[in-house]
Amino acid sequence: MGDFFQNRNGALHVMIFPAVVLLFVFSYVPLFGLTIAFQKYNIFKGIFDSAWIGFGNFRFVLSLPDIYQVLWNTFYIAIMKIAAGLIVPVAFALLLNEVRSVLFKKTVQTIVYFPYFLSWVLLGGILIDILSPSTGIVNDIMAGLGFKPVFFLGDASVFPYVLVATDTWKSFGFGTIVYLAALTNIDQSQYEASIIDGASRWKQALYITLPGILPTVILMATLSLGGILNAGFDQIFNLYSPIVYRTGDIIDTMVYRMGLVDRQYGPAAAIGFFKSVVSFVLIVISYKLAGKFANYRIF
Amino acid sequence: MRKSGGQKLLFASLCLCLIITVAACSSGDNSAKESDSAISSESKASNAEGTAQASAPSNADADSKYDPPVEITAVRGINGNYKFNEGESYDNNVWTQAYEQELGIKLKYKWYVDNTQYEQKIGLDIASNDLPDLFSVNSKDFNNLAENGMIADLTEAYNQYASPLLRSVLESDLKSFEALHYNGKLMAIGQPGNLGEQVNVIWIRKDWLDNVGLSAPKTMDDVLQIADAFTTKDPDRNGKNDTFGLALTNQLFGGGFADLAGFAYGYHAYPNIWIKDGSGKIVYGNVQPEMKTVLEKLQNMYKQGLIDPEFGVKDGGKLAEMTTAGKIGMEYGAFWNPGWPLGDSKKADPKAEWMPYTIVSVDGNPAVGAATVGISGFIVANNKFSNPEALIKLANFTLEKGYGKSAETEFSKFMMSEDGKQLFDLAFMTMAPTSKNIDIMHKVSEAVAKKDGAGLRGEEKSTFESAMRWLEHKDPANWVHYNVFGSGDQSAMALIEGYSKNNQIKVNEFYGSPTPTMVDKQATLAKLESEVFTKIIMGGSLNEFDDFVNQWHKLGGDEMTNEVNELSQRN
Repeated sequence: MGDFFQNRNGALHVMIFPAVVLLFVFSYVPLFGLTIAFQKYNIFKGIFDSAWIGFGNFRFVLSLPDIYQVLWNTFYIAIMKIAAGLIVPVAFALLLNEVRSVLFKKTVQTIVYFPYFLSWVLLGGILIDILSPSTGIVNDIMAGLGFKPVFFLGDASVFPYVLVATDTWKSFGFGTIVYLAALTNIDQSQYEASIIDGASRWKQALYITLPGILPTVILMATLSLGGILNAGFDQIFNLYSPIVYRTGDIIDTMVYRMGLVDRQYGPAAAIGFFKSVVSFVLIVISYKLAGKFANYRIF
Repeated sequence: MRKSGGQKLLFASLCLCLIITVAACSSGDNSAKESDSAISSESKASNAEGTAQASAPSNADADSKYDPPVEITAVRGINGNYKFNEGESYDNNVWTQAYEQELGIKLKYKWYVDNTQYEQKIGLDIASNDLPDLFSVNSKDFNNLAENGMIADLTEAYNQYASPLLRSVLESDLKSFEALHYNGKLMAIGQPGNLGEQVNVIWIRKDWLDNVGLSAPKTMDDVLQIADAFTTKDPDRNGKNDTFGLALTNQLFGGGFADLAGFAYGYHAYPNIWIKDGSGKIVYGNVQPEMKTVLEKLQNMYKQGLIDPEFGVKDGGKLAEMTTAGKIGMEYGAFWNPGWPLGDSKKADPKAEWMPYTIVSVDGNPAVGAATVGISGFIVANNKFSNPEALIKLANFTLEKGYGKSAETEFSKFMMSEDGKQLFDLAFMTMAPTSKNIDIMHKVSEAVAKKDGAGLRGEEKSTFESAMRWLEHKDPANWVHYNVFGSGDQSAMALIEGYSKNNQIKVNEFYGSPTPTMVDKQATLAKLESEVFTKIIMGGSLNEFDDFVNQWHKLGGDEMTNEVNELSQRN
């Protein structure tokens, strides 16, 4: 026993034990529930006695008339969000990094970080007002600039872009902070050397700052790939309406309506299972990519 | 709809005050309990008002007492705000003491949780098949329990023991009574809702009507005319073109506020319910030709600017904001709307004089509103429980103490204490006559007219006092009580009574848990429907309605229709 604790790894193993137990209880045990995806699940009979129907639930979901539209919407919105969620914070962090006034920098940082803490329930109500074609401030400004009013939340052709824009606005403050942290890790002597060599601010940003944070960018990008089927339930649920179902309905909102209206546990579990498999594959791929390009390893 | 749902629900339930609390019993270790005890033969046969059903079999045993006492285990949801007197608890209070002394029933609660968590907790008990003797469930669980043979048949016990009062409440509406049955057997006791209360009234700002020089609507044409005037004639006299004629949400039908169902009834269309067509076949209201007329009228209103061009993104919560801001002067809604959100409108603008009007129709036939049979809380007996008649006795007892002869002397002991304590919260179950709110309206209106509340008790008394506070101090928080209950023929509740009296209620031919095809297809069809209807109102071609009807039939509607017709024949 004494040996065990004197061995540094032994103590660490003891400390990690509660976390492993929690992980097992809350993340691994529920995996048995995945069997529901292959059953005609009856809550009174439970997992053990419900009838097995093989891939019946999957076939049912794929036979829904709008499933491909919904899958495409999910994929399209998620991809755009991932792209915007990378480009905007990186660009913003680079710009902020060039600001000399610390006070200004911190103030801006706080302001852009703020929406990250608001819930979509709240923002949903606010955005409906702000984006209103008749009374909204955004359309007022656009009218002042000579544009025609746009019904942002009620026009199926612009709705997905509104989703991407508002989501990026809400969350880019967080990404910015990550990249600002990465920026502080860049060795200052590189800048000094480049200044001696006569590099301009632009060249410094291009050849030192950007490569310096590239591993972090790649890491964030690859890790976000796992969320490719998560187009953002909270946001869409609070902003969508029947007029924009065509372009705005995603897997999660469909499952929600299916589950709430009809209590279809089997098909809902099947969709969840499908999402998990896709995410798992992508996480494995992105982990490999992260290892290759950013030298990021857990194991 | 989303954000305000809870608020509305809360208010509706407060207003109805039909809080069905429940208890049930554990089966577990008490297999040896004295459940075999013979029912005491000393029947009291004192039922002074045995007038009710002539056909009812002798109810001489209705009040009989268990001797020796029988122990029954129960579970219940509780109102967490209840303040107990010293020494009292859910396990020991006036009700449990009376159960034991007067009925010989020792009620033991296995557990109690806050009402909000009750459904989850009982769900767990059901899933683990660890059920008490008596408990309450929702309609879906009720059907499942009955189907799986887990609850007791109460038919015989009911025939033998139900008091005339209990019979008059449960059988006040035969469809509701049927809902307590499974395969022809009575399997639960539950509070039936008042069907008329589900039908909308037209809420109109009387001050706006006066401003534009119009009077109360008699036909749908009047409604359209009012909508037009409320949009174009500056009803609020602020010199700005900033009002709309009729409120609607992106949910279109349902929700009880800014709810187009009442508008549809005017054209004899019945959204979201199943009705009998001319040949007696049950069909779905939303795919009938009358619905096309409704959409056409709405489309015209949209074109003329009488409805908000942005309604497609607005839910009930947003509409409530607009109403409070004075943009809306007419809406179809439930009788409780003065509680939410019209009360807020009244607070923001004391001049806002919202008045309820009976729904009107487009032609000589009166408008008929739709209602679905609803039971709030199915109280059932475990199949393993050997004294299921105890449930009937408890129900008799509950109604007797609250609304029977004994209420005259014991109301303040069991229902509401002199200092306003809601003692009925402590009862194993609560039940009330379906006409309760209408009775309150009559008594309160009469008292308000006389400005004298002598003889009122409980809810009647508090409602009267609030109504008087409104009349005397113009305190907007109390306006709701005056408007709904206290203003005689002009009370919202008086209109509800009118619906029942004048046969203006059509009952949904389908109720209970969804059919297999509904389970599979409902979500898809509902999505299609709301997309198409919204599009048509916003100027889409009316032919899209016909396409929708065809698609609806093809994508599962025909199967649903068959299932619903089969079910109704089986019952």
